[in-house]
Amino acid sequence: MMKQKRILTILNQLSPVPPPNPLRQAAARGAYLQQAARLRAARLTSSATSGHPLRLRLRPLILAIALASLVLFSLGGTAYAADQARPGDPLYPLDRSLETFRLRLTRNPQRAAALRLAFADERLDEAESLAASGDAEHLPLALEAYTETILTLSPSPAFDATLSRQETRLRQLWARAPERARHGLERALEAAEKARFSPPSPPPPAPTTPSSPTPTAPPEPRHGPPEDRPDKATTKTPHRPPQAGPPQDKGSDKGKGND
Amino acid sequence: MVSSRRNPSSQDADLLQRARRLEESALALIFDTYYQPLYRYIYHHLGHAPTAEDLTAEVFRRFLEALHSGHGPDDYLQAWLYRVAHNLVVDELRRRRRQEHEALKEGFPDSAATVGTQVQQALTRQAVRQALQALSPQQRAVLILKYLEGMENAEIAQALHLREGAVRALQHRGLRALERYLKRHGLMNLEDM
Repeated sequence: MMKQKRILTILNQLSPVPPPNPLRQAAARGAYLQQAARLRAARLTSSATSGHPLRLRLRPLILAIALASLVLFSLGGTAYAADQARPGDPLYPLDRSLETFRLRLTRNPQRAAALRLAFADERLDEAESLAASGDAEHLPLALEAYTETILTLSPSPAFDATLSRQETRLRQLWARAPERARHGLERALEAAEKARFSPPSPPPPAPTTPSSPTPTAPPEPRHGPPEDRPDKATTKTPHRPPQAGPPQDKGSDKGKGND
Repeated sequence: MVSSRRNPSSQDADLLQRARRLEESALALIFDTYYQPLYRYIYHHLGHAPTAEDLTAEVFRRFLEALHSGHGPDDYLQAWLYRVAHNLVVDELRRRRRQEHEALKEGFPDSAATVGTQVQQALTRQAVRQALQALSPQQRAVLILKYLEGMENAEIAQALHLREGAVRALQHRGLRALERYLKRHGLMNLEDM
């Protein structure tokens, strides 16, 4: 205890501290208050340019929204580019995936069916574009995709007009499609015809004679009995019997469809 | 001594609140209250008045910057200021080791003392300061705050970011180390000088 007291006494040798230079202390005080005034002014300027403190707090949120918009805009651009893609294009799988996604999001069956029909139209666009560019490799893929889409379609009188137009386009495509795409075209035509709620009205008379069908003629519409199409069996209007032969023969069939 | 401000009162809280708004009157009051204690604390470490003045001014400069950037003390203004002062001292001691030499050259008027006595006092202070320099920075800080600034252990704990138990341990070990140093250098009779 004595030792500690002795040590503390020694330590207290340091106790007398020379007072700070009053001039330097005053200068330090002046500089300190000047610095405070500068910071106050800077704070005022900052709040004037940055606006309300609430806006400062919202700034990260605004940034996040801007960033999200940018991402969505980019995704939208990609989706648009994908929508223009054809089989064989890198974005084509994305296009199909987006369609599937849209279908999954659609709860209303009628809207879903309308979407399928629109997608089928898109497949036809792609097929026509591929045929025009002479892409025999990918044309069957587009036709196959069309057929698949149409086969999932629930018949509705509202779709018949569109289906009829699609059949016409398929027949027109037949004329310029390469040989390897013919099978796909046949299947597509069959699917379009089967998807109809009402049997197709006969196409206009063909320029060629019925007795000389060309090898490039598309298949005739073939309609099976209602029992072949259970989804339409109860509501279907009378069907034409199955027919064979090129579309040129359709003129001679006129009037038979509604027998 | 500033030991009367051990716990932050509502008055302190109000003062700090105004200081955060950079109100001149509050900032001036803080400067006037803490300049001398901080200066003494720094001087005890360094033994060099001009350096102590500079570093004290630096403490207040940092205080303003911290307030401006939304940091600074939450409640314990005194502890925050001493902590900044301590960090500055540690940095200063690391950078330069000339305070003992400078301390010899300084002095302050003592009308009752002869020139010989003044020299002797300066030598004594230098010896004690050298003894303090032999301690760890935390031991030294605790002994200065405790025995030269008269602060309570709780205040020291806040200022140095330590638990009170650690402050007591540092105080005990610091005194033991100081005693060993003084004995080893034959300085235990400094009090008689």
